[in-house]
This record gives sequence, C-alpha cells and structure tokens, in this order.
Amino acid sequence: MGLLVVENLSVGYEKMEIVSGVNFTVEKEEIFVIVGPNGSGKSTLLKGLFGLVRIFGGRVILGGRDITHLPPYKRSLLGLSYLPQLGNTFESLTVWENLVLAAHDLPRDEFTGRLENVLEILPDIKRFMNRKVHTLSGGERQMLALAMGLLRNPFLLMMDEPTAALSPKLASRVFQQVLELRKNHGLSILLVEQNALKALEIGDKALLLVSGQPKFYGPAQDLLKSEELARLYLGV
Amino acid sequence: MLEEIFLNGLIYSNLLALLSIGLSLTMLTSKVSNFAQGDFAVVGIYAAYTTSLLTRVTPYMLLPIAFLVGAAVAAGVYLLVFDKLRGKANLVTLMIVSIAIDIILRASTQIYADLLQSSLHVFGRGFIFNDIMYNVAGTRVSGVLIYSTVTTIFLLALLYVLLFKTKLGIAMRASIENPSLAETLGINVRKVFTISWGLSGGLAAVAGVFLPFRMPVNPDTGFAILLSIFAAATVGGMTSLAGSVLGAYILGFSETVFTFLLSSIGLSTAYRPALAFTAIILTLLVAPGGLSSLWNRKG
Repeated sequence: MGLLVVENLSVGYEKMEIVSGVNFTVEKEEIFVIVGPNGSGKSTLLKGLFGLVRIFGGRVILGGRDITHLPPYKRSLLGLSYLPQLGNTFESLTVWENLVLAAHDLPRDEFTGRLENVLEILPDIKRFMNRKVHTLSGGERQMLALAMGLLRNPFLLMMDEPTAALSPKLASRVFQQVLELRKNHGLSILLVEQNALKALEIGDKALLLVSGQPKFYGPAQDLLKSEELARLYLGV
Repeated sequence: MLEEIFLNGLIYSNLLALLSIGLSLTMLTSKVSNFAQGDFAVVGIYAAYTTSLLTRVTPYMLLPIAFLVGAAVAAGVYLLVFDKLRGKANLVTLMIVSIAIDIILRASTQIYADLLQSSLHVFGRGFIFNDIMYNVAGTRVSGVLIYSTVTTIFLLALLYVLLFKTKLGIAMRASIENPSLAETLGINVRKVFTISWGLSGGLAAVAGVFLPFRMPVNPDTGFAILLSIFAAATVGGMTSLAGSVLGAYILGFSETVFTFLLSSIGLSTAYRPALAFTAIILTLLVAPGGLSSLWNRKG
C-alpha cells in the first residue's frame, strides 16, 4: 500500500465543490507533482488533504490509517507537513520563535539536534535568527517556512507553490532542495507548482487538474511527453 | 485628600487592568467583544463569598479558588458556545451571542444568590467583605490596596512570562495571528483558545474578589462595571494586551478624580459613566485603534 492513498476525493468550500473525484497514490521517497492551469483547484486539493477545507466525499489514507476526518493538528502529529503558499510564517514572531513553534512537541535535546540538521540544509537562516519575520524578504520567509516544515521531521512534505514570487535563481535552489530532501533524508514530497515544466522534470509521478477534474495521472515524464496536454493546459 | 484619591484610583485601576486584559484576550482569540466579561468577575465574587462563609477564611486567601472557578466558567462558555461558532459567525453575531451569555450568567447568579440566602441564611445580595487594615511605616493601609496591587503586578508579570517565555505563550500568539497555520504545525488551536478564555475568566474572577471590599455587590455588579472595562480596553487598544493595561490605569484614575470633582461641587456621582463614554468617543475619533496603535505605527 502507498504512503498516501487518495480515493475518489472531492473537496471545496462551504456549499461549493471545487475538486471532484480525485484518485492517486504517493509512494515512499517519491516526488509527486500536482500541476494545472490557474484556478484548477490544486491548492484547494492540498488543503483538503490536510483537513483545512470541507471534504465532500472520498477518503485520505496515510500510512494505512484513514485520516479523512482528522483535525489538521492531528495530521501534523502523524508526520504530515504542509507548507502553504501564502501566510506560511508568523509575522509577529521572531524567526527563532517560529522555529520553536514548529517543533513545539519535541523535547529540548531532540529540538537542538533537528535544528542543527535543518540549519545544515538551510544555513542562511542563522543570519536572521533573531529578526521579526515581517522584516524578512520573500525568499527569506520561504526559506524559514521550509525550515519549519523540515523541523517537524515529516515523512510526507506537502508544498504549495514554494517558488511563487521567488527570483529564477532562488526558485532553482528550491527545486534543488526538494531533490536533496528526497535523496538525503528519504522524504516523500507532494508538490503543487505553477512552474510545470521544472516541476515535472524533477517529479516521479504527476496529476494534472483542470477545472477541478483530474485529466491525467501517471509518470511525470509521460505528461511532459504528451504534447497535447502539455500545450493545452500547461503552456509547455 | 490627594493621597486618598490616588489610593482609590490605584485600587480601581488594578481591577480594571485585570478585567480589560481579559477582554482583550477574548477579543484577540475569538474576535468576541465579550459582554459577559463582568459576569466572570461576579462568578469570582460568589465563589470567594461562598467559600469564605463555609471556611471562615478571609477572601484574600481564596483568590486562587476564585481564579479556578472563573477560569472554568469562561473555558466552559468558550467550548460550549464560541468554539462552535469559530469561522462561522460574523462579529455582530458573536457580540449578540455574548450579550445572551451575559443574560444567562446574570440570571444563573440571581438563582445562586437566592439559594445561598435560603440555605446558609446569609445575604445573597448587597453584601460586602470586611477589610483588614495593616500598619505600614506608621500609616494604616487597607488590605485591598496592598493585595490588589501585589496581585495585579504578580498576575501581569506571570502573563508576560507565559506569553513571551514559554512554548504555550508562543503557541497562543501564533494561534491568534494565524490559527490555520498553527493547526498545520500540530498545535491544537481549540485547546489554546480554551486556555486563553480560561485565563481571561480567571483574571476577571480575581478582580471581582476585590470589589466587595469597596462596595456592596450583587449579581448585576458585573454589568454595572462593563462600560468601564470596554472603555479601558478601547482607550488602550482593544487588541493590545499592553494597551489594555495602560488604558485601565488612565481610565481608572480619571474616573476616580472625576467622581471626586462631581461630589465636591455637590453633583451626583451617577454622572460617572459619562466619563467612560466620553473616553470611548474621543479615542475612536482621535485614534480608532486606541493608544497602542500610536506606538505600533511608530514601530
């Protein structure tokens, strides 16, 4: 059985169903990419997987356990980590407080060890550890958000457009980090990305969402090769 | 005379500080302009009164019990009502619900006062607490001045340490800023908000215990002081804890001086609430976000 199994999932807001009948499986140490045009429901689907929006039907199974109706904080404690596209750090707190918060359930020794590991991956954070988040640049915030996600030591990291609003150079670094996280830390990664071409290049499997409906599910390379789908929906 | 006005102002301001900081906590966590805040103080009064009657211990020693009972009632109100409305009700609905809670709590306290009167054969309403006088450097000082000042400083310091030096405090501040993100980091926001409401109710209940040392109290006492609580929080900045404390001391001293001036020129002190209303209106006209918005703007 896969690490994350999504069965016929439909999600949305209040009375409005945005994404319907999605099925896919994320395996261990896999990079799974969700792509699609603007407004296709990619972010809503990710929120649905984390219990942040209304579930209209279907099931979400993590490590063999049905988590469809678990509150978000319990999903996080089970090893699922979610990096929202916007508002992914606490602006009124310092960088240090954000990191402490991300690892709030860890004993001090374990927190210190994990923080050292995360700072090896993202050493730049040391430079602005005591600053309030609202004084950071967009790239620095994104780095902090990633550090917070990694501190939780998840086995599945869900990232919602982590390269949005970043310079091409910083965006390349983020994609590089995604590959390193899988290779060096054995993480499974579920990536929602606007930069479809780059995401599909590093992805193992992909889901193409169009107007809330799944149009393609399979190897990422196959989607890249499908000229019609890539041209119609991804601008590739 | 001036010394007496200052001491009265200090006692009143201490009570307002504990009450208004609690009001700000509920406003920050659940966006509720809580009309039941004064009732939590009354819960503290009756908890201390009942325990004092049964144990013959001075109410000053029963502050922890009042805190716990007030905290339990406030946490219960949050869990039973406001948690269910989180993310579903708008600000006006939440305010109207809090007025309903105020009416229910006042009615419940009226019933409790009747039961107290019939079962223990004591006054259920209009009672006062006997104060203890201390000799400090040759001057006789009332216990309520000493205990209310020490308790307020202690509780505000404790609240500061909790909010800024502990993981729970960081979680509270984070949950207030972005509850959804806090949930994604494994924080049980419902639990954090329940604790915030508990703190708010506990602080109000402790403030309540000092009231019968100054004036006769009844189940409606909380509603009578509600306007001053709102005025203090509004002057300081409804969503700023430090601002609420500052607003409490400004309003507490102003009201005390105003009352003294009214009585010295032969006017009724019934005009006292006019000052609270004036403070609210002037603040909203000059700095709608309260005094804290002025230093936040500079920062």
